[in-house]
Amino acid sequence: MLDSFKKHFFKAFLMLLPVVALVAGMEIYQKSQMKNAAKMMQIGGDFTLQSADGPFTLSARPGKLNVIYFGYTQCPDVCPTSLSVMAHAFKQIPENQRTKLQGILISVDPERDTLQHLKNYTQFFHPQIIGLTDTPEKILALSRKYGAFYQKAQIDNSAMGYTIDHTSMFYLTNDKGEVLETVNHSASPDALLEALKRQLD
Amino acid sequence: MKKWLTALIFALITPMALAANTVDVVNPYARAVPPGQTNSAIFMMLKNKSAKEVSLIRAQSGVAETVELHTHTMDQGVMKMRQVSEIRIPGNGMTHLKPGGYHIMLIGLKQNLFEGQKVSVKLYFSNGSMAVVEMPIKKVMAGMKQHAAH
Repeated sequence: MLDSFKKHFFKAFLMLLPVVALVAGMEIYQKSQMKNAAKMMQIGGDFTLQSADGPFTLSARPGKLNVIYFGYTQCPDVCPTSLSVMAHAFKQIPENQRTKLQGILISVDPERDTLQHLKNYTQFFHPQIIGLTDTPEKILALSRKYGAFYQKAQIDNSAMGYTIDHTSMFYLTNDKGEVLETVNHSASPDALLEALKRQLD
Repeated sequence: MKKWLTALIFALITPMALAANTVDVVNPYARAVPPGQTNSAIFMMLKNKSAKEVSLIRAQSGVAETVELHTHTMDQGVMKMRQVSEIRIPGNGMTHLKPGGYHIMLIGLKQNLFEGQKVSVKLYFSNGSMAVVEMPIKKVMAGMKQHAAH
């Protein structure tokens, strides 16, 4: 009886092999398609902006996974929250992979944000975050390419003078500036961390 | 001289006594900022111990030129920050000043805000009471984790 069982078992096993191979193959294919589909976000692009240490060109740094955020330094709540989230997500990536990360704050307030202040500001959160800005026209054009929105809002009777309304989102790009994924504003680094892990693999 | 002194002492204590009767200030903190930064935010939980609604109408601090009350609204994905004239605390209820929502804004910092230091802030309420609150300066993420715990 054992022999008969062995014979049947072996047969069944042989029949199952192609099925298993097919399913595994489909999984791998789907995963790679998802990665490619994400690449087709059709937003983003290469750029050259100013930093305290000279012009910064995205495509001049091959192999980097860039995390871009549009904000400004006079913002007391949303922007510090986002940069802190970015810093904490970075810290949770293993060191050997962390060197691939480049955090970028693009200031939508070039009138008030000087390059040196931008540098002090971003370095406060993490050494791998750089602060960039340029002329208002260049920043506006670039924000449109990324699908980021911002506008000046005069607030009467406030000592702030004006505030800047803006979308709050992280844009993860490859070294060509192609947006691979976006992560919405949140007080927790979890969503950004998940996205970073996904893109670093 | 003594009468005058006694009167002065009572005048100073009374507002604090009044405040102690109406609004509790729980877990206040100011956000640490990079050196040279001009603005920052203060967050806290305000608990109204009276049955009647009361509002925070003004705040003042020696660490900044101006202190204002602000809130955020999310309008179709766009974050907007606006000044408000008051922050209401419902009767026997509470209002949470937290990141993304209400905050007390410090504009024109006169000193750097380093983690571990303390700042003193005066809070004025609609019922005439005033509270002097000492609070720690906390790093952004440390503060946010504290809010999440509630």
